[in-house]
Amino acid sequence: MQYAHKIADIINAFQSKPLTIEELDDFYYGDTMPVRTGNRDASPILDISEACKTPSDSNVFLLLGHRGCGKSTELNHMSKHLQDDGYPVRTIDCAADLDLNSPVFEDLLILMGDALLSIADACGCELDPALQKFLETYWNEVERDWTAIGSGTLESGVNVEAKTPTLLQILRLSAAMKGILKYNEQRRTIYRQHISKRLSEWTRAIKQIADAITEKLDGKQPIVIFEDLDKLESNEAWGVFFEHARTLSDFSFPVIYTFPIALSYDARFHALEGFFQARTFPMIKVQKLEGGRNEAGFDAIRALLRKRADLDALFEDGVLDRMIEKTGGSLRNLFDVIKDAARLTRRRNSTRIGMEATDYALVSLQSVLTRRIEKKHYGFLAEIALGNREEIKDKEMLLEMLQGGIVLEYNGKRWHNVHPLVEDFLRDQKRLPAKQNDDA
Amino acid sequence: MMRDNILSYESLGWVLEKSEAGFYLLVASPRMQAHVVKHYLGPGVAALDFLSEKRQGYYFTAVASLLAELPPETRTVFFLNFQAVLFEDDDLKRLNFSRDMLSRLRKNLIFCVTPAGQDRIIRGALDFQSFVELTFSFEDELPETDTVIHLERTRWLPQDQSTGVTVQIDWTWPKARLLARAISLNNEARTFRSENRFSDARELLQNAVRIREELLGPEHLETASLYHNLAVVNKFIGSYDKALEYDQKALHIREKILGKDHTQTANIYSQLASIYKELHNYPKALEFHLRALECRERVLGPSHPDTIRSYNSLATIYKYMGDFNLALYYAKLALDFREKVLGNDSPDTAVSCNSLADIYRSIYRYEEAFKYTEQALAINKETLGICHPNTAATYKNLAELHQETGNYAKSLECYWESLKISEQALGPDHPKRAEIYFELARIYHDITQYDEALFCIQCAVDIFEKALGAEHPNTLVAKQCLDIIQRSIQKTNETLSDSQADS
Repeated sequence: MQYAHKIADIINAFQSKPLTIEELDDFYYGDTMPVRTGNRDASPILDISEACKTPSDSNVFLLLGHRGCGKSTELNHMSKHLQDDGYPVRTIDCAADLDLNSPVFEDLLILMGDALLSIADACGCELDPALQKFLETYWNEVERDWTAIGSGTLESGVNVEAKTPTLLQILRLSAAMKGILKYNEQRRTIYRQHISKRLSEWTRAIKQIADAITEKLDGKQPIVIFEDLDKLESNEAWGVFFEHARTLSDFSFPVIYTFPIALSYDARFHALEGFFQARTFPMIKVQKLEGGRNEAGFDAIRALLRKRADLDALFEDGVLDRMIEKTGGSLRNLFDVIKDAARLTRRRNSTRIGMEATDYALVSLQSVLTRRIEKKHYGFLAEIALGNREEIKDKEMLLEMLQGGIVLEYNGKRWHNVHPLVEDFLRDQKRLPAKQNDDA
Repeated sequence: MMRDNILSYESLGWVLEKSEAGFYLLVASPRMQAHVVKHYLGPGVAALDFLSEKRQGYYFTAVASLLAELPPETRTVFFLNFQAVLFEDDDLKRLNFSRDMLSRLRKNLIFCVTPAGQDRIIRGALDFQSFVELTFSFEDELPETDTVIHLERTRWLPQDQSTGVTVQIDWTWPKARLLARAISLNNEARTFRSENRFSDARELLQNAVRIREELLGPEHLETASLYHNLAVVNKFIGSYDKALEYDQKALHIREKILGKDHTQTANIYSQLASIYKELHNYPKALEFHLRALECRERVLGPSHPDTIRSYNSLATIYKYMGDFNLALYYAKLALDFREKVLGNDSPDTAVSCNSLADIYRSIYRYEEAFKYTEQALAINKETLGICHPNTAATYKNLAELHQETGNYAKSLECYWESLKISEQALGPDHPKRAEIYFELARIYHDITQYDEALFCIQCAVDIFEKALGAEHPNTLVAKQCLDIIQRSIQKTNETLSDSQADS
């Protein structure tokens, strides 16, 4: 990533991906919580971060947030600070390590064990020999089950004859297991069955590993973050979290699961809140519930953009405000519009993005958004746009529109509004009255 | 959607020059994808074609292993025909899940898809789409080299089967007898029209008009009917100016005597609209269709077949004018009413399904286009039978959809089915069959099955020549394509004999 001094640099300055840990120092802007939560002192990430430093019986979190709200960047930022303070953090990329088409909770426990083992190895933690033996025996029994059905052996390099396998050997076993978890459907079933049958032993082992790490690091607990689980479809996510909430939450060390925000609209979600601490990472508010601009939101976004680009050199007057207003606080949408406008600006050999290029880019984004809606959605959307922003009865349609980025959700008090570009579209379709003093 | 090839080329150049890493979408037809990408191949840039890979569905591991085979200094990779691995919903799910893994490869990954593929991604792979940095859209350019080009969408007119007719009018007859003669001339003209004897029909009608003008005056309602009939015949022949002239005369009389709110006046509005449409004067066509609709809604109500026909016509005009939202609105309205009034087993309902499918196709919403085309096909097969021209036409529509979405195997299957049916329904030498042969030749050429391509294009040329004449634009295009295919065969044979000589 690079800071943008000129138009040609914009392609790298406004990448859609989250900021990596290495990029945080140069490009991260963190003072957006007040305009996200509506409260200067409220910050879901800070809550999690502080909880990670405070031993507790209930330190397992569900982190919710809409696509492109900045969740992963904030998690990376939190991880970095915790690591700087000496806390070991492992982020598990579930999409890389699991078959997310058919996940089950046992998979998460296997990955958790693997993550803790790698932390233990990294911090030079000696595991109790009995624990190491248990781990080695546990997986060898899985292998025996697998072999019993006549299907080969696990090639892990582990010397199954060793009396006390080393941590390294166990790690290699664990890595091999992860590969099977992802790619070998038959063996995966065996592993899952094994965990299921001896669940309490495995979770006890996980806790023992965590305790050993904590002791080694003078009270600093390991922290495990599960990314990508927010991409799970509803029924799969319920199958993992709802059915096994107790098991997945029964850890004294901090665990953070990303979680599909759509499920927070489901009545079952309240039951989950009895097991997990749910935190929602809201979008930046650029409008107020009662209507009108939220200037603080605009200021926050401008400050965020200033970390990435020379705004005065690259944007004509009024352009940024229009972009921010028309993207409704969705940073990813905003970045898309900036890049799209930049390419037209480049073609015109201009040095600053003007209003025409901006409108061109906004039309492109509008075209993408409106492809996701049909006439049957118009009435529903018009109702929200006309003021019904809090109590929305049709949850199913609301979810569909939220997932498509057609409706945006803001917090403080949970409320919604139609994406500004979709609102313009509805106005063109005469589903909404013409805006007074419309500058379209 | 805005398509500017120059802007897209320049933007692509920008990405290749400056971008560190990211996802990009290149939207173009398969042919155009290859055409664009070949300009950028070179050190650090590679292309992988998913059509030639013959992969079943999208899997990150497959993509990763393909990338692993490339030189490590490769910074940019074009995934050609990526739409070919995005047919199932599970493919889109896997694409979503693999987003972060693809991102971590730290390369510029340019996913080349057809408009249909882009549509699937926008609507079904939201996580992946959210990472797309920029989209480059390319319209098909006219080819500079050997690529098969398109038929002109000229309206094919039925051949005039007139044999010549002589009309004798004895002006000494009493008025009543002369007027009766006018009626019989009109009836005979109708028969000739159904036999495609258009010039003969016109001759009869012109004489009937003379009688009525003489005896009733040029502003009589009955004279207006004949003006209208003359307009219809002239339209069939393709004499649109004459058709307009007669229908405007008819309109003047009907508006004056019956008023604007009469169904007979509405019929003229509708006819005028259709003539303007043939003349590609869509604003005028729209104006008259709206007038017809207004009248029909008021007098006949919204669910009358004539009113529904107006909805359908409006949908078509709006589609031609590029206002797809309104086109969809009216097409759906027509379909709703036809389903309610006529039921799901009426050929008219199938017509509406096809119209709706056509609009969805224009805006690259292929899922809906397929749905309605298949619905139309089911109705046509059920109600009209397997040997009806409408059934053949719907198979052709389905073939075109599969062709546009890159499913050539299915497209070929549907074209052959359409061909088989149209032979029975239309006869072996109907130009519609030539059109199908032409499209088959195109596909076979694209998938390098040149022998089949040659056979098909030869059939197309033969039929076009017979039905339309040697100088018709479609005949000339078909001959041009024959030439291209023959050159492709020659080139292949030369390459084969060179490689045999080397070995």
